[in-house]
Amino acid sequence: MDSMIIGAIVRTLQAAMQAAPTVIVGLLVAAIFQRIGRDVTNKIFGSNSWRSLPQAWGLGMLLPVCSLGAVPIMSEMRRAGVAGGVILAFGLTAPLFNPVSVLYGLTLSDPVAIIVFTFCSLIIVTVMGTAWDWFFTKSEQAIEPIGPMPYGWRRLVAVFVTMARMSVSRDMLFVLAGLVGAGLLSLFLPAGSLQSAAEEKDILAPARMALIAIPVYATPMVAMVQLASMFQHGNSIAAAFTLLVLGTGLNLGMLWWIARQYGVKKMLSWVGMLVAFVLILAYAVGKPLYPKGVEPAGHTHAFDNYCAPFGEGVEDVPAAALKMLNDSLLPHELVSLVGIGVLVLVGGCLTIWDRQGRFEAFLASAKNEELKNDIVLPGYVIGGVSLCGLVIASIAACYMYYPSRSEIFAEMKIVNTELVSSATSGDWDTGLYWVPIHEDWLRKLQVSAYLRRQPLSRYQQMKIKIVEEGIELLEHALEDKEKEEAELLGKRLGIAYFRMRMSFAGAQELQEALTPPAQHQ
Amino acid sequence: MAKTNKHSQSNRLGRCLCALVWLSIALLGSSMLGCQKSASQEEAHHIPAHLPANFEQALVRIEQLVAHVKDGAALEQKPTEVTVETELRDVVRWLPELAAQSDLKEVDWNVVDEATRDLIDSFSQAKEPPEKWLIQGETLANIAQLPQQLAAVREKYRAMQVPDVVEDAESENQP
Repeated sequence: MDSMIIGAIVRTLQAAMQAAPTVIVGLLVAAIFQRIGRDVTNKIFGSNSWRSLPQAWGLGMLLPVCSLGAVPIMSEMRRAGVAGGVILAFGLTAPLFNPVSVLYGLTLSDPVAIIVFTFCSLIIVTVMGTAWDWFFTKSEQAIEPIGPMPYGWRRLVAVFVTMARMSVSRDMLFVLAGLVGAGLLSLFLPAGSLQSAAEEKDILAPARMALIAIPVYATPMVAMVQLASMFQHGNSIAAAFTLLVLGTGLNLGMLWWIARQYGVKKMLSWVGMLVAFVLILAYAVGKPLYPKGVEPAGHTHAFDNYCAPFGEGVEDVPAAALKMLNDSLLPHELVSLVGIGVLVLVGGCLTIWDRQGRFEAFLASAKNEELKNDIVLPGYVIGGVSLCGLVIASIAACYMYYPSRSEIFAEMKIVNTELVSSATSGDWDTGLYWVPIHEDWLRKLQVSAYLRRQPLSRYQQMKIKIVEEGIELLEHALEDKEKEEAELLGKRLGIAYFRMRMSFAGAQELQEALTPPAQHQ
Repeated sequence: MAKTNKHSQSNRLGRCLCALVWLSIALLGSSMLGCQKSASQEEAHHIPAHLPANFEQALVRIEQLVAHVKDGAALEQKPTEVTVETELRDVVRWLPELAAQSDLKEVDWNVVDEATRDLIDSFSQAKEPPEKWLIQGETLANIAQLPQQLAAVREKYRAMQVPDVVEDAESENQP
């Protein structure tokens, strides 16, 4: 029982770590929307015209937010008087894709499938947005516009202060609810219980996935990794689509937000329609998109992170929990958590000592300064530069996230050595720590090749596949603590890695590597 | 007035649809929670019993199976988990991967890949079990030609064999 509760806490904290970067982005975008005012925000989303839904979809595709980071933005859209259907369309699309995750999906899943999924998401957003506005008219809410803020440093400080206030606002309760929902889900799913939940031949797989996916919290990248894994393992594509839309697009916090804003009945009706529509589309596209020539693995580890983290054999659960949290915390997540901590601290102080917003009134009281060597840029220029900047930053982020081949091999060499040496020395925990990192670098190798237009030959693809299979087999041996098998599979992995590495080397390098040292002299 | 009626009708329709969906979700949920697997039932990787140890053995097995299917030659090792036709299909399908688990150069591996690619594509398009189509038409003839087509690669494979890691591990464990 204790291990289940500790497991749920671990899953909640892991979700919080993953969400931290995108929640900061969400707060920033929401604060900017509040500062630029309701009219401009409305304009950005098409002023409740026929363009609103596709515009919400397009903006959602570009902004790097998850389903939790989308909540403060949706609140601001609501305050700005954007129509309910458009808000929900944005909230559903924004977490599904971002440029880095789409690139990942295009390489490691089937490109046609990802394009179809993207197109289907547009259909879902349009239909569900239209349905909302058709069934529940007049759902937009008008508020008093806030006063203008002088440009310059005051405006920047005002955005920070707004972010801080938002970080301790009611919106954060919805975010917390989403995180807790992800943790609670693990109470109902024993460790590894979803490994056969998405088999191609199981007709109920998409429906089952719909049920699990609603409380699930997944960042766009996590969802895309799972999608790619499902394609490679020959799992149900209909289930993959359901997971993408409902798992990434929704969470319990967002449902609570919709219920709070529009009422429980409307929320249940809309979510019911959404689930039905997603399932219809999923069953329709599942069969035609199933990858040809893939041997179904019969199981998947893609959903292990939604289940309880600890099985029956774990002895010291608190220590294992701490280690798991420590291992899963990435540097950018730590920085984001510190950032949220600072915002909460500032926001808390402002809530206690300045509930009336005197500080913002002070910032707004100053008149615009006379400028000598500077110009005031019109809104459309700032908007255009921001949009182009977002696209350029996305492209740069892709190149940084998927570095060059030489950098990847330098990292992978270390990772492979660590994994093989842990396997051969029976260091189970260290080995299991390196397994996902090795898998991650292998995927980055493939995406980097696609991004840099250095297509992999079928020979290289096969060598990578052999290393991937070797890692997966080794993972099982490490989990089962089978000494002899882990040692044997570790050695095999070392050889498979060497052969894979050599497949990327030139013929001369290959010859030298295979020639015994005596013949070199 | 007509518009209001139409609107309330569509509202009713929407409510019925939603009730149906939520009912299905509840039913599915209760059935799912009733058949949870415990952690001890985690899926393991199933390695098929008929997976050959290496490229050479795969080619030998293809020769044996083709001789059995075409001429009725006796099989020393009969497949245990699958039929003869399924084993033959699987071994052909595994050939490129088994060849890649060696130090064969890309140019040699490509010969294996090209020889098997069309066959493997046709396997993945088949909707019926291999017993119904493998021994008919050109498929079996094409499979039968594989050992001959790959003779040169096979020679290179034999020449570059290094002691298997399994044998290494076994010899290290011996006193």
